[in-house]
Amino acid sequence: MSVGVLAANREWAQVPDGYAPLVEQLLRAPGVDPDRSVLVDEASAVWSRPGFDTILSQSRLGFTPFDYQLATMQTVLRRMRGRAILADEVGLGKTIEAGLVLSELRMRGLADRALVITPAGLVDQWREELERKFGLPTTIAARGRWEDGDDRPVVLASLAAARRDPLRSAVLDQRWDAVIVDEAHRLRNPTSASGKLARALRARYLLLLTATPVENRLADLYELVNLVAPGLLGTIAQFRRTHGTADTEVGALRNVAALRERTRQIMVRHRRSEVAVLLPQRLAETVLVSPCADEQAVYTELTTRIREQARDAAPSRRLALRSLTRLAGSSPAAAAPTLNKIGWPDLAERARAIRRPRKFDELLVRLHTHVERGEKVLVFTAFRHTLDALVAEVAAAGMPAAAYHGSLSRREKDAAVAAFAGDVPVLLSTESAGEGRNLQFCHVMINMDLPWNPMQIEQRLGRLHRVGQQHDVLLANLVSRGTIEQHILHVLETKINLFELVVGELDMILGRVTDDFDFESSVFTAYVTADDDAAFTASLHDLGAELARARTDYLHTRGAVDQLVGED
Amino acid sequence: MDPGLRFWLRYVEHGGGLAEPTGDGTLVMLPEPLADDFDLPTELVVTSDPDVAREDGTVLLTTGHPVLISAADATLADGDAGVLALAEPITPAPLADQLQERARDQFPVDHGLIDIAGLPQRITRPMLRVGALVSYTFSAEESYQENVECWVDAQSKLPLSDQAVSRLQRAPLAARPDPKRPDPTRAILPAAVAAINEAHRLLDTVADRRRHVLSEHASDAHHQERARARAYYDDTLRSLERRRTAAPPDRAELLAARAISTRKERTRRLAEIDEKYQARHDIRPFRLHVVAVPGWRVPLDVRRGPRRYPIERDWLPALGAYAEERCPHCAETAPLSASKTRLGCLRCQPMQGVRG
Repeated sequence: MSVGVLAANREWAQVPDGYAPLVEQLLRAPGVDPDRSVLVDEASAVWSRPGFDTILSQSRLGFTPFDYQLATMQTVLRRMRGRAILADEVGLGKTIEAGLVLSELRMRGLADRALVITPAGLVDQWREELERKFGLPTTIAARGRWEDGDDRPVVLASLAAARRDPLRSAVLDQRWDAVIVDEAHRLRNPTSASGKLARALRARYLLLLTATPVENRLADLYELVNLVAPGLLGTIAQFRRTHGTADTEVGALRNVAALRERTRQIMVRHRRSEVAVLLPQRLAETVLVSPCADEQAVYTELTTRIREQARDAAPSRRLALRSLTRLAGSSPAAAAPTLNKIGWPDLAERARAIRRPRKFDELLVRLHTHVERGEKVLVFTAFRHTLDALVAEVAAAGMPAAAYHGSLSRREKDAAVAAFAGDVPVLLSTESAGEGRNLQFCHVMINMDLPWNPMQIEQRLGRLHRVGQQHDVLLANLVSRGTIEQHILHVLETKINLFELVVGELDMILGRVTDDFDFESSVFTAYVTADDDAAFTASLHDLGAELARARTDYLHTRGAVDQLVGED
Repeated sequence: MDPGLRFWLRYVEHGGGLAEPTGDGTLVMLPEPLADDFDLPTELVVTSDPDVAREDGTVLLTTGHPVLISAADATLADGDAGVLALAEPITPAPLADQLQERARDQFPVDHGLIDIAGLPQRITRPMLRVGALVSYTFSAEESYQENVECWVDAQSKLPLSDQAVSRLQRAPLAARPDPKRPDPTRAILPAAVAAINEAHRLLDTVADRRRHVLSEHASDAHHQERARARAYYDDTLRSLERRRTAAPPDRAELLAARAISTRKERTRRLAEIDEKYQARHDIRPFRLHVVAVPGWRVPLDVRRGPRRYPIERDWLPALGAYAEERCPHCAETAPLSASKTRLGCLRCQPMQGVRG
């Protein structure tokens, strides 16, 4: 039959559904248009969402995940059908695993509406990770609202904000495709505000991230599992009959093997000993610098005034004084503007008159040593004024250095990091150098001041001490003798061995002290309520003892979790 | 660049728009109809980097964005159909004894030997390439779309091996035909169109197999959900029965009624679960290429003693082989056997020495 006859008889009407338009096109203009073929290939890639044995999002990732993280993603998507508890030991990248799952679901159009609930201190870190590593647009919910557009950003909310109105009502008003809750052990208690929020959220896919899905009580596990897979462990009565009452300690439960079998259906746990993620060592050194007489005098006068005023100060004044205490621990240059604002111009004048604090001298000596060895050095300070002073001093010493701070545009930040990666041996930076940038080519860090929040210390360290780092990370903390920072460092080093903790363990420890434990606030309160330095030292000792207890608790819990959800 | 955005920029250019890199984004000029379709301005800067979008106020377009999905859908609906003619070989036909030797190697015949029986004739053999997206649905919440492709020899309606496909894809194409002269490839279109059903059947078979693989986990989930529901209702019914036997008559009657309604609810719930996990698939073709493969038709004889059975085979230089053929009697693909009465395949030849 000729083409003409075929066309006239519409013979292709006999072809299966969907082919007729293609046959018509074939008969109309028989030549293949190569450009069109490429376009159609790309369209089919955009449109298709293959089975979960194919990873769609891999080409879009801004990093290379570990095999066990990819395997977790596939397990969660295929076997657990998007509802799981990610219970890896700390530091193994639960955030990455959750990001992989979310990224894959979004690539497939399965999670346009996604909500991530995290502790308040981790909201920005989640934003960085999701945007830089996964290319996922995010928006931070505040005051019960968030930006919503065609690209449906991932909504980030702190647990503290989300469990209270107006944000609570706003998140409960939505039907989410996916919800991720970080540090999900905070949801265990069904009668707490956080627990009630979690139980009221509506989501098709749910990921709970916690390294400690069970503390000591069996009920902890039941509650978390029931959030992810209601009914998987039966009714509470069935569960008690089979395994033990709510208060049964992990060590005394019955039918452990059966319980493990069930929990494995929705829980993934990797242990450091099982995965080959080797990080180099952290070698920390505390450098006590004796301040010059002027520095010492200004600091003593300033802290005496703060202690006197802060006890009875209104909350806002107290906060300003706390901030000033931290600034004074950084450098006189950092404290001077606030001293003026707070109404102590005499001290401001004296602070400004100190041209070069002793810590700066120590820094320059150390920079020369490292640079001569061909080592790059990342210098951190929490404060912009200290940074500006450092930039001037380092330049005056004839040493090339790049500066990095939050006021730079994205391009300027990129340029600073690029310069540091290139010929410039020193990067002077504020905390904003976090942002997930790749700085592993450097392994020397100097802290010009010490954040009072230990999590910030860890975040600084995390910039260099991460996967991909080839050298041991050398960390020097420059601390002026006799300052509050010296006391803080002593507690953190002696009580919880801060610098030798595995990444992520610190958060586990601090989270155990009390529900809303704030280390910085506790230190300041101890300082202002103490009559003298001896009393302050005693208070810090008590605080340290609490931290040590929290660490012991944490280690105990880690063992209990392994017993319950580990391998047979 | 995100592959989704790369596709969209190509789509825009294909539709008469312009795209040019600018700083961290891409400046796009959209013709009005396209701008209306996408509900976008006629001039905009786009990026797939959320960081850039937030800081520079550019439009974020990444895979999964509705604008990209709609462009992909429109592109697939238009499809990609046409003929690709492979270049005529620049070398002459192989010598007769070479063709004969290759035929004997490729088509071993039980009790027979292949001989060349005449001069090869130039032919064009159509191969059909069909591309499709298959949508698999396993439950109300779970569906996948996968890209599948099938190559069929339109004449024999046999699927091509991976090796043959790979050789065809690497073969040089013919120059574009002169539009003033009759296009020789048009003659092969009827055979190609007639092979579509077979290609579709093959795609369907592959999709069916794939559906079983993909549904494995859905099937586990189905069984688990069913078992959980069963356990729940069994527990409830046992409890009702226990309480009924110990209850006073009026209360017992009430509990019996509750047991009846619970059984009905169980039946309904289990049916709902089964309904939720109904698996199916759907094939959406988007590509139909007819590849015109030049070659020589070679007349052959299969000789058994004095008997000769004439056959033809097509030598295709692009494949470096003869095209595979089906048995002349039963359309199977088993090796041939020359009996005393006919030439057929090993499957359809009458079994010698066996009486019914």
